[in-house]
Amino acid sequence: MEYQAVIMAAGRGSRMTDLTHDRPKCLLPICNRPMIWFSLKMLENAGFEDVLVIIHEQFKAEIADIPNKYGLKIKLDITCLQKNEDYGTADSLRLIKDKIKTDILVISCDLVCDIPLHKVFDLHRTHQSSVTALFSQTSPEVMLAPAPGPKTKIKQERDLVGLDLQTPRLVFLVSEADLTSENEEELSIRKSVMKHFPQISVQGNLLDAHLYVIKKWVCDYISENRSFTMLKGEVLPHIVRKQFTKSPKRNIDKDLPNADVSVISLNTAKRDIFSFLVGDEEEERIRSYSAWNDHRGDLRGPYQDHAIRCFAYVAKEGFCLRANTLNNYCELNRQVIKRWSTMFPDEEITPPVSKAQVGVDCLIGENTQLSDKCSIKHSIIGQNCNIGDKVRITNCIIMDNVTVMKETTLQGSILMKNSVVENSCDIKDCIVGHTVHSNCKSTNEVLVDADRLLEI
Amino acid sequence: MSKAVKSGTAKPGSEVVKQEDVIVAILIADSFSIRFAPVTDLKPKALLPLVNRPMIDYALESLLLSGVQKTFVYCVAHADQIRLYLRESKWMRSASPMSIEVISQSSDDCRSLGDSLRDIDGKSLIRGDFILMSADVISNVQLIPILEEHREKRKTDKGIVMTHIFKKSFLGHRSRSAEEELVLAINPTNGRILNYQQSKNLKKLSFPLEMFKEHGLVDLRYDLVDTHISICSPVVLPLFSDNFDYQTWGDFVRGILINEEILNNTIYCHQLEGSYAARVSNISMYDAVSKDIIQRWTFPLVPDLNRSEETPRHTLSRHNVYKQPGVTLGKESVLEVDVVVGENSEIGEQTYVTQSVIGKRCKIGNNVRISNAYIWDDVIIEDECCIEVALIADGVCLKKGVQLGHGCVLGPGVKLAPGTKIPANTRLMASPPKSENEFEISDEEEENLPAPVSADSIGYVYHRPIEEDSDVESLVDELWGLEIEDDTESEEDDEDEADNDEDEDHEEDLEVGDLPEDMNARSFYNEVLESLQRGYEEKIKGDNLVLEINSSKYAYNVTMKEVNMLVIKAMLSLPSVMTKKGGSGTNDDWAALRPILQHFLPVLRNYLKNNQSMLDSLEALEEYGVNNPKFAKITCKVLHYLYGEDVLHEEAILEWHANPPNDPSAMTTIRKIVEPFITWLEEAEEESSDESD
Repeated sequence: MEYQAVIMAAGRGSRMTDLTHDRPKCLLPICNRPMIWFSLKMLENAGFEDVLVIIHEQFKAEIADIPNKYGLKIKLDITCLQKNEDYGTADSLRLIKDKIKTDILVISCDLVCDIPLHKVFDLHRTHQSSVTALFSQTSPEVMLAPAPGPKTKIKQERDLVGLDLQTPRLVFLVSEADLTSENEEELSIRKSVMKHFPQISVQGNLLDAHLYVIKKWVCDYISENRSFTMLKGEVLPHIVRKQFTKSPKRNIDKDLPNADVSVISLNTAKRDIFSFLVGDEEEERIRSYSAWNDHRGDLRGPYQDHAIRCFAYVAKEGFCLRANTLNNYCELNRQVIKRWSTMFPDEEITPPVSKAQVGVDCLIGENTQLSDKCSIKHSIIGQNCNIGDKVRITNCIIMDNVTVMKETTLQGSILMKNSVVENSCDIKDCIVGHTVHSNCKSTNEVLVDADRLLEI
Repeated sequence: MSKAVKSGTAKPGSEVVKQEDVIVAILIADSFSIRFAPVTDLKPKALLPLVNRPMIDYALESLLLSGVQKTFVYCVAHADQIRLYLRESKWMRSASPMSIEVISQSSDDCRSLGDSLRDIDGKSLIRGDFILMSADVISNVQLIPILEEHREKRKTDKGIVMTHIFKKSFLGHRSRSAEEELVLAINPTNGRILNYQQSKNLKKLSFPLEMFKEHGLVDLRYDLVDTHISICSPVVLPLFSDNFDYQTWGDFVRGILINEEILNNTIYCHQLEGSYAARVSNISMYDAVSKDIIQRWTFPLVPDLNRSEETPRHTLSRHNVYKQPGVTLGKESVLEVDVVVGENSEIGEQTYVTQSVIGKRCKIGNNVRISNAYIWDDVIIEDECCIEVALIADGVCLKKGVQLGHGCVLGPGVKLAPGTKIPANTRLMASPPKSENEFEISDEEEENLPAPVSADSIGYVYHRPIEEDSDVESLVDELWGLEIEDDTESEEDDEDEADNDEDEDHEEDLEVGDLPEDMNARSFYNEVLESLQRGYEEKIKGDNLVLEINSSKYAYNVTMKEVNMLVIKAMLSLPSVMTKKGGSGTNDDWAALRPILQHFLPVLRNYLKNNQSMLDSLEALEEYGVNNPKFAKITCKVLHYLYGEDVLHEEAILEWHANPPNDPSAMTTIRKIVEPFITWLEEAEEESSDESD
């Protein structure tokens, strides 16, 4: 077993609270399948036989049942968080540190991508990378796709990713927001970094897939260092920065005479990152014999003699999107249904048997009743729904057990589980979570239970 | 073509022949610097020989080879000499495919590139796109395709004012001029320059965030070298005229980028692929470019293809050894590698020459060692001289056994008496410096040079006038031949700096080795340190501080013992934290610490109530002293003070001293230092007990 896979599925979905107040993010449906199914499927396709999953306790049964329900062979090793515990990704990793035996692949449950994972692993393996991250090029249109609910200015959480042009080394990683708040709108780079990497490509339109391949020793470092809570926000920038710190020279001769003293001090003193670093002696030796170098122009060894190295795999093609915001969630539903046959050729979806007008790019769940005179375009409808006469549905996501009564028009909206829309409504770009009474006209609203609103 | 832009700027009453069709270049035959002084005191830089050929020839040749039809040569310093030279040269013949017009200006009116372009604008000579180049540039670049590219870009971007040419050369390459180090931000899709910085004296480079927001993709390049060749739209000249503060190219670029939104002007960059271009901007670059020419990187601008008729061609033999006709080489003399010897030069017996250029009619004696030297015309070097890394101008005479240190520059006409030794990096000239009255060099100059010139020599040390802004730059060519060492050194500094930065970013990496390893205690310590610092700065009452510390204690769940120890440690480290550097271990330390301790006496009294807590604090004191040798020196004073203020009781101190220290090394350091204090205490006790008896 070369790698272990970890799925972080205890996220609260804080950027889409309208959808996640009673269901965990990892169970929200994308094309009628729970979000986490896509991560599991991806891992299974990549050849993983088991996976560590971190979830909240109350959904354990439901998630444990997923492989069974959808015919996945992958085995889940579930670690639970208590109901109200909020763990960052690094905290979660610390929680399962005893289960980590090798280098790990960490993914977030909201990732849907069809980029072949072996390419990321290849990069990681080839360069003996400390941390390898997957980035994908996203078009700004996808990020700015319309979403239901109140119109808000979409805050783009962009990162500035500095990549070496020669090698896919990750030179720096900062979030735009951090720079804006701290640094008076400036990005500063030390000249010594530029000396090591004279050609840096700074990319602002890359999407961090939150997929990281992490070396075992980095995991140890994370679990030892309790100040880290987030992988993305804290650990990764930290490790990236540490690339340029000189490793302390280990003076063996000096240590030898009073060996017993040094052992004690090793245990008591704070261990810096380099004391965790586990080098592969064989590999070091091969490199010292080899003439290969990853750069030219100076006399430094391969990888600029850096012991800690971070690499980025930038996917030029292929689909990769995270359902971490409402926009992305909607967009993901639309994109995945379009690409279903290429992304999951072995998972057939049965076309709906109905006389209703069902356009392309639609998905109708099992046991859903469509009356003959309704028209459905670009929409996904869950299981056990009931769609009445002369209903027109365009660009909607309708979850399970939804009833839509006759002569209603739905456009660009999300209908949550068990919601009901009565006769002759006209609903556009809304999130519906309860019963909407007849003749209601709404645009860009969140129509959810009144008691929940009070709760807020 | 792009008439729209032209017609806007063209003056009325234009010529019959459209100038756009003629490819025009402006050659600035002055570098507006004194890098080559004193050699350039009498001769313009453009006429200095570079591998036995005046520099301006290379520039004109490269323009001619790229198909330029008309060149304006703009001269300032020694303009008459350049004019005279060009009149006699092949360039001014009617048969020359490129016509040349010489414009001269007195150096009082023209002190920079900006001034010269303003002057040219005033003369309204240029109507179309033109090539701007410096006369000390050597290149084999085909400029026409780049000019076409420039015009092509104008179709999409009306605001294009300049396409500047850069050459990629990695760090440590000899053709990187140390004083012209730059960092560019480029949009990789179209090559637009988004940010330009001269990074010579910078440790950190800052880029506006706006730039990254606007352009999703930005390349930051540190590996580009300015070739000082640019393709300019005609609007460049009026832009210089409108902005009197534009002196150099750098000013211009910065100005354009700052006013980008208002004027909508853009600058593009062209990266050379496989061609050569470099500027002889200082003596190190002179060295680098000469070697490039000898090693044929500049082909076809190489000595053996020199087209000028008045100088006979060099013949090329193995290992890049070039000889002009009439060279005589004595017995057992070696021209090892990369050597050029000019017409009618004589080299004596058993002389060794490598990687050097020797001019015309030189006489070099027996047993001479020459390496990495540039020797111009009519130089006489007598027997047993030793020259390494030097530039020797016309007519210099070195008598027997002269030794030159690394990086010496001898001005024209210098004569050195037998056996003279010149220290490294000295510049000599033949006439006494004008500003000085004495013949001898006064020691008031920054460098404490011994008078290098013996009685029979003609040679005076040249001191570069100290310009306010060029002190660092002058250092660069002062170090000709020693650059490599300098570079690595500075790199070390950089990295040390980097480490320091890192430490500042992360409090968990904070220096002091005596910090608790436990995370909670560490956070507690940091918090206490913060409270104390603020408490001291804002003069907060002791009671309130105690409250604050106690609340931190509960927040981090630390034991009372730890509190006692950490509070003491935090107080002791306060002076160094506040000044951000370690003390010097003298009375000053104590002077800094004393008011702090005084201020915190109430706090200390609160915590140090019983014997155990005092022992804890003494332990902390000891640990701190062991880890901070500087502090150790004042331990005694601290103890005495605390004893005097009744914070620490005699019994506690004696008990502490009676017990062996945790760390054996403390025995020799701290315990030794406090010894006098302890004996004093013991004596005092005995006395008091005596009295009581």
